[in-house]
Amino acid sequence: MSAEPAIELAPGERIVGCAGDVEPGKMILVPVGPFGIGIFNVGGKLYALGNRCPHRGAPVCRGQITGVVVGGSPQTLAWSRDGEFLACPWHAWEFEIATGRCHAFPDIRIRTYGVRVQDGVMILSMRPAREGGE
Amino acid sequence: MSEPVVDAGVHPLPARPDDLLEYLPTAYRTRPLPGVHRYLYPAPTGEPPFGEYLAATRGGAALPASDPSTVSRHLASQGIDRAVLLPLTRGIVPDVELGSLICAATNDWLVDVWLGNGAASPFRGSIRINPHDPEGAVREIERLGDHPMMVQVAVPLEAHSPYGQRHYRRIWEAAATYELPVAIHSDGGCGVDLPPTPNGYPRSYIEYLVLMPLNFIYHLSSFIAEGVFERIPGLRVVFADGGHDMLHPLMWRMNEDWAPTRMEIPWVRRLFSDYLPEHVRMFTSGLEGPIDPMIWPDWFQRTDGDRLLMFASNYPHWSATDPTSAVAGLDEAARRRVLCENARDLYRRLG
Repeated sequence: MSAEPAIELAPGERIVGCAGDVEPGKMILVPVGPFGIGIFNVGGKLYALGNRCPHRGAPVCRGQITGVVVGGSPQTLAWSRDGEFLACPWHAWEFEIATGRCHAFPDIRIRTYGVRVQDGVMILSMRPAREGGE
Repeated sequence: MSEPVVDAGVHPLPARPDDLLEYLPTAYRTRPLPGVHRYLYPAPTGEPPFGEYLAATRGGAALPASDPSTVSRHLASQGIDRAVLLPLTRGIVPDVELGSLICAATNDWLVDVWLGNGAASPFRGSIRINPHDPEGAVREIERLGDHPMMVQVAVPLEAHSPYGQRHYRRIWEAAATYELPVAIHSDGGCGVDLPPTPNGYPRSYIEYLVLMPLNFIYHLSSFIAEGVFERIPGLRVVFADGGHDMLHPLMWRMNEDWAPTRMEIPWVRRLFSDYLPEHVRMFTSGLEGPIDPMIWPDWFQRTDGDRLLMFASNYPHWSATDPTSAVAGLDEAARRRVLCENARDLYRRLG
């Protein structure tokens, strides 16, 4: 008999899938908590965001994974940080996936959670890493 | 009034309509200028030809508000110790050079007739410039920008495109370089102006009176959306026909969908309304304030009136207001802000 790898879970943590379940540039929605939590893979790093937009409560994780337009000079538009932002499906507010921070209103954030990979499994911490605020 | 009042908007006139001719280059002295009485919407308030003006200022051979000592006495009687003179240029003229020369002549006349008595005089001036001639406008600001009695640059509310657009930008940069706010006031004349409303010409004076000042919103949204205030942090704009009562509902509309549409204007970094305290001031206007005076102090407070509003009488026009009525119902601190401190903060050369 081979020994099962022992995975130690901290309080509030749970196993939500396998390490390869979220491909780069994608999101999976985990049905936990009142709204669900989206786990995003941005260039190989995993981030977890609550599926509730702090603006009007939309299921924000179902929005488009995108970049942001930044201003050039004089008044030209440039595309920046493709794949690092999430645009809410209701009002298109843009949020930085890594921090949950709203691009237009930096004081407003989506609630973020810890997510880690150990021994090939994906572990989500249900304790918010940071409260979303309005 | 406990403290000396600043009147941010007085409109002086030449004694005779043709007085400006002597301030024009010789080659232009045969040219007819836009007349003081050439006016699409004359106010139906009195006997011609001075229906535009307060009864007390009419009569005599000279135009109203054309004699500095008379105006000075009037100001003193109202407790006003500084008045910013904002002469009108009576509409956009199709000849761009003539338009700029009328501005320069107006400025020279103002310096000559009104601004010669030194710092103790109640009068301070506005540098008229022609925004349709950006090069000439910049030259005119450079010519007079250091004049110790000039406290602002003035342009018409009437324009052929909104003032945030890029062909105007060097004008605003020049004004900011000289630390001169830019006052935007309806010229009210009869030039090659666009219609006073986006839907054309209203029929009556009352429609013109109420609707024309609201054109400020097109310039304001343009200044913000084009990123002018981000590019020129020192620019201060004064909307000199009033409209403060409409300002905040319009800002609500602009704020609401800025976030989802900001990718079109990424140089705008804040809510539209967040630019107001730093960059925008409004004149008081006799049209504003609810009919129920009990509501007014609350609306004033909610709409940041004590930071944004400056008293301006609009003298000698028939609709001129006095300092007392402009701040009726407000507490003492707010009265001081509106009647004196906001203008003194904005116009550094009031003396």
